Amino acid sequence: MRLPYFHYYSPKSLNSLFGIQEKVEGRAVIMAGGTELLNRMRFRLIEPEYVISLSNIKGLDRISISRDKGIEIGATAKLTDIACFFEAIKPYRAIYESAYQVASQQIRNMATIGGNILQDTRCMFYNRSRQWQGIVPPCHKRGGNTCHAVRNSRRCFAVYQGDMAPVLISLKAIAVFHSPYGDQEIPLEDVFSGDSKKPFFVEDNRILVSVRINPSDDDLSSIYKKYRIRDGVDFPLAGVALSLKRDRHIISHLRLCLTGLAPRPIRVSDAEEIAQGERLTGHLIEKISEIAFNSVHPVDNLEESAKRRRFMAQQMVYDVLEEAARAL
Amino acid sequence: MKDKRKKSKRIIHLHINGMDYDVLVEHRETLLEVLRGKLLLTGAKDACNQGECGACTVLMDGRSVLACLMLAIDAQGKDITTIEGLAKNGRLSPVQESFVESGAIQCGFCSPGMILTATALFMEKPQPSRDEIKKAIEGNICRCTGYNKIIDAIEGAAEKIRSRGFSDDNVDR
Amino acid sequence: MTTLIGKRVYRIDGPHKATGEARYTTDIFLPGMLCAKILRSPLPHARIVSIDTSKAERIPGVKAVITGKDAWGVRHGFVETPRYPADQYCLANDRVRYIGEEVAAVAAIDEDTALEALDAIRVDYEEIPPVFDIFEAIKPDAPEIHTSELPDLIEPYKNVGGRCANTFGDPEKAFRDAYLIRNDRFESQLRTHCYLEPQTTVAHFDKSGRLHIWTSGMGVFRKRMHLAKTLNMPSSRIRVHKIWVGGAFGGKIDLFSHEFCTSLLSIRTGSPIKYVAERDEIFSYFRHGQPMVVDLETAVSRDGTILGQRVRCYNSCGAYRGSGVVCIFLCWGFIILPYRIPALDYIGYSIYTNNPVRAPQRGHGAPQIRFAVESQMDMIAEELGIDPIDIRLRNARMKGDILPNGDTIKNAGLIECIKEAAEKTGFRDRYRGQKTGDGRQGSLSEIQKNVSINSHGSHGKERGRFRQGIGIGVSGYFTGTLIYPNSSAAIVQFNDDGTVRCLTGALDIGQGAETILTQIVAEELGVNIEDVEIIAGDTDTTPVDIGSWISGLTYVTGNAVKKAAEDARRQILAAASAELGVDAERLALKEKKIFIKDMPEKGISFSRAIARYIYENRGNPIIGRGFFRGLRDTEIGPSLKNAKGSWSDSYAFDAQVAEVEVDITTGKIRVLRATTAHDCGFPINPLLVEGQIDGQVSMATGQAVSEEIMMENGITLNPSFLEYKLPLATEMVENSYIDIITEEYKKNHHFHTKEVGEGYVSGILAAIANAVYNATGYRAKRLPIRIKI
Repeated sequence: MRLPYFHYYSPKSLNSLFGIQEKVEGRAVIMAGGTELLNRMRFRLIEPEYVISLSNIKGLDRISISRDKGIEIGATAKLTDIACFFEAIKPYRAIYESAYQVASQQIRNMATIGGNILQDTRCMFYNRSRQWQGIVPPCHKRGGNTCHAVRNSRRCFAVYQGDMAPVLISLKAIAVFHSPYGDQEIPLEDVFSGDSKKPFFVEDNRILVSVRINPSDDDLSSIYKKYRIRDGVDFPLAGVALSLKRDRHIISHLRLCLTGLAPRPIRVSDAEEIAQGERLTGHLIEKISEIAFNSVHPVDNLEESAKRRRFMAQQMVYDVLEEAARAL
Repeated sequence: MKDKRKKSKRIIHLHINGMDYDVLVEHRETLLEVLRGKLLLTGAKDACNQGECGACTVLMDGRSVLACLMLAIDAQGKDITTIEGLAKNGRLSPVQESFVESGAIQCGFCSPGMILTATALFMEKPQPSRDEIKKAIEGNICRCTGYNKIIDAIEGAAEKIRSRGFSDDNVDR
Repeated sequence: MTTLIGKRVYRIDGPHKATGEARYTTDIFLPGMLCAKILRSPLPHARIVSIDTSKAERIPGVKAVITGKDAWGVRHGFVETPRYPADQYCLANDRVRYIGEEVAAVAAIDEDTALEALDAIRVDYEEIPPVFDIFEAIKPDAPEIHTSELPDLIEPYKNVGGRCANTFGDPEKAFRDAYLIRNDRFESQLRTHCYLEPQTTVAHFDKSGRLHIWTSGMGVFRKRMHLAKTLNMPSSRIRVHKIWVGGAFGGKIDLFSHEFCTSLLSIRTGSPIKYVAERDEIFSYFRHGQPMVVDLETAVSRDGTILGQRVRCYNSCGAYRGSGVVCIFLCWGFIILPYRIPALDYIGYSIYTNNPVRAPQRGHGAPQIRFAVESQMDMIAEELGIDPIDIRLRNARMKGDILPNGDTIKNAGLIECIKEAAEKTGFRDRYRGQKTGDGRQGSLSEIQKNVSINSHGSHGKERGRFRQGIGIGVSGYFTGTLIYPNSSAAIVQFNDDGTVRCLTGALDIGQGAETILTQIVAEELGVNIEDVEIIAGDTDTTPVDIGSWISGLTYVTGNAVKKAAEDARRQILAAASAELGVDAERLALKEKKIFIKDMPEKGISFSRAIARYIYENRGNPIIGRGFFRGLRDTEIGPSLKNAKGSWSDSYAFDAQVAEVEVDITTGKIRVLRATTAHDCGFPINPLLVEGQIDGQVSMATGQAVSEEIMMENGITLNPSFLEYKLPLATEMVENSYIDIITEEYKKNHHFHTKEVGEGYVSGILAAIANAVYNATGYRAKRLPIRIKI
């Protein structure tokens, strides 16, 4: 399967990039590592006239951490470098755990955090070649008006399967955008629309340049667990990210975010509320895992049943909370 | 509009296995297509063309990458190593030798990618554990060997590199 | 005493493959080569009303377009017998019977143009109701995929492509006298080979009227035969070239549409044509393994001795016969092989559905059957209070046993295999120590209740969460068979410098055929491995060989090559004898020298002896000829209709133990270790045998716990390496090997070795299922094993 024809630019600066975007009037897609984009193009899910690469823009791949400024990860930082950087930084270990479990070593060497965050939603009836698609009528996400996963559905159920976003959201990350009209910082979770067809509130001329996490006290802990059938390579069929702050035995902050179960990462805010100010007891753990279970309603559109994915989400929430309780 | 895109070509300058190539490529051509179809470096294989099997693995500045998921244009300015570039002066690299001696090669289709991934691993971890090896090659599928002798081969290569001295010459780019 | 046989010799093609030098079909680039693409049916069942290719033909860059009418109505099949005539067209004739069936093919200057041409071909279909489930397909009101023409089909079933029925002994009495009877249904899933090299062919019809073919297949002569028939060409005009093959496992044996299409397109255009199947096409439309339902009823006495069995096999062969008709015969064989069965009532059905055609996959029925039999054996053993090892020892076949078809088991190490596997793994103690449950655990929550986890305390739960289990499975396999003319011819020649060249039609598909044959030749002629060159797998230059898909390469081709080497040795010794003035019996060969045994300083080089021979024979060179056929005294192979007749003259056996770990909070199964005790006769190259075991354990693990092609209404839902869960390196199983030697390599006599390429999937597959039961009490009746939540 060959890629479709396109014209490729790799500008050396963001200003240059904005200039090109203006010239082509929105007919361009932005490419970071390309590991997700190229396959969607191969399948003719998108056929952009122009591809603008971020790879030559210097300074977009820096990773830094400091006591006063917190964490800043440039959008084109490679997953391998991110995993390496955060492996030994205990409070932010979840960043290492999620980056290190994405795809394969080769893809981690090429893929960027920006690309991983902004990956399109997926469905086993959508991420198929053009030839395969010719057998069935086009689904909602393909511009048609049917859904092959849920018969007679009026909406699309494609799933967001990014590993890094739930971790960053659980760490209250902020997305930093640059555009010709100025910079913008918004909480990362607000970037996600929840619409499977168009999963991001990102206008064409805004470029994600970095994610920021404000500095935190030392008693932060974070963990990421991923469910997949094999122990390597695969996307999360369910993923659980937890960040936890305790003042001695009392929870001062708990953020739980799930992936692989909905059109966007799901922040389990009800869990956060009931955990505030409580001790991490077995009873609380059970309650939170139940809330997590009830907060997601996946359908059978991945290579594992919705029932089992939901079950695993609950089990993993239980497991990460248990692990956190034991680490005390 | 389609015709305009069709003309999107460029001459790019590639540095592969220590040699320089000027190649006329379409913007949409992947590195794999250029390696195999234009430079006849057919060691990198087109087993899935979707980045899911690792058979097209090459090294880029010492790191393992998938040639089917890279545009040829993006390989400019990088130091690319394919399987054809590992053996020096007719002598197999330590990793290649170990693969042959350990019975890690059956049909051989995954071998170039596997060997290069292992080579890249040694540049980061000279003494990888069995689990680290499995993790490093998780993206290289093999259906013939069950991975057993491949992992043995990579462990054996670590020994060879250690006894011959771990230098760039011996690991080979 | 042998110097090279039985040694861990490195693969001779190792360096070639390790450097990327080895060329596979996809690596062939010829000047002026065109790209071929195939138009496939989007419907599972339909009549073709009309095909209009005119628009496609007019597209600039399109060089030829072909459809079914260009295929002369010639059919081909995996088997072609009066009972099972060929039933597949290279391009659909007037009907399509599965989504993906080939309807037309184009050759164009590049891929984009070829795809544009496919879009421009207009096909009018008239839909026919499809049927996808075998039990729906046999109903009287099912849509008819093919008319069943089997005279012995007494059952009121529709869409039966094959039937094999065999009864012996007195099954009625066996069931009357039984102390215990078990009746269980077992289901094996649709799984696939996942060979890494795609399906691909390059065809070039040259100006002298010869058709050159490079194709990823499993036997060059078989491909040539099929092409000659379907192209209406004499086989002498077709050359199937030697090319390396990137794995096959049974999925590349018979003729594929693209092999015909590229050939015909090349004939039409005069240009070389290349076709490479996309990976999702391979997962969706090409031949997978046979899914099967097995109804197994077994009668045993009080001590677990099998008295009789009643078996019904329902094989899902796809829209055409494919290899299903062979599979249902082999399933009979895999029932009667490892255990003594005094009475049997067996019927196997191969049933059509509107799904792609199925093919053999490593084991071809053995995995499905042994999963059923070995699971039930454990269930019977438990009900009787007998140890799983003892019940197997009680029923295992032994040397000298005569099979129901009359074949004699000349050598059988099965008892030793079982004993040694059990001892090495400490099976009995561990099995008893871990027994959990009573078979009623149908779900995760029931398992957890039974194990009584303390869900609030972390300490007990951690210990209880991961449950280990051990299980055993036993299998047998045939070594070559006469279902096809399973013979091989070979030639051995000397070069002037004393090095050797061997010509054989055998094909190395990854298993190391060329290395094995090199070892044999080198052993016979007393030379080093480096002194032998194998020229293999080319229909023009090498003698005929059946190919590498019938589990007989080492045995049949190996013996042919041995005989050729012996013949060459006789000739060179004759010359040396004349040169040295002593009788040939007093001479020995070593390292390209011939010397007198009791006067080793007196000798001559091979070169000298060869020169002498040529002188003595007025220029006639030394050419050694060899030929071998399994079951030499048998005229034809066993009947696919009633399983009567000689099947094989060498049977392999194995006992395999699996150790698993199950996380009972999630249901995740990990296969930790596998121990394979195998009677392969004797291993010619233990390193290669281990490699075969490793690969089969991996395949069995995938089949047991994670692999399944998911289909819905004829559409494949997970057509990728990402979504089809074949094992990665992270799923690797630690293997141990126990060689049970029952044969030996003999000078001046053909050797009896046994196959190693297919028989080690089924034992371990069954062992895994039994180990999961041992760990959790969950009895899997279906593959892959998914514990319900």
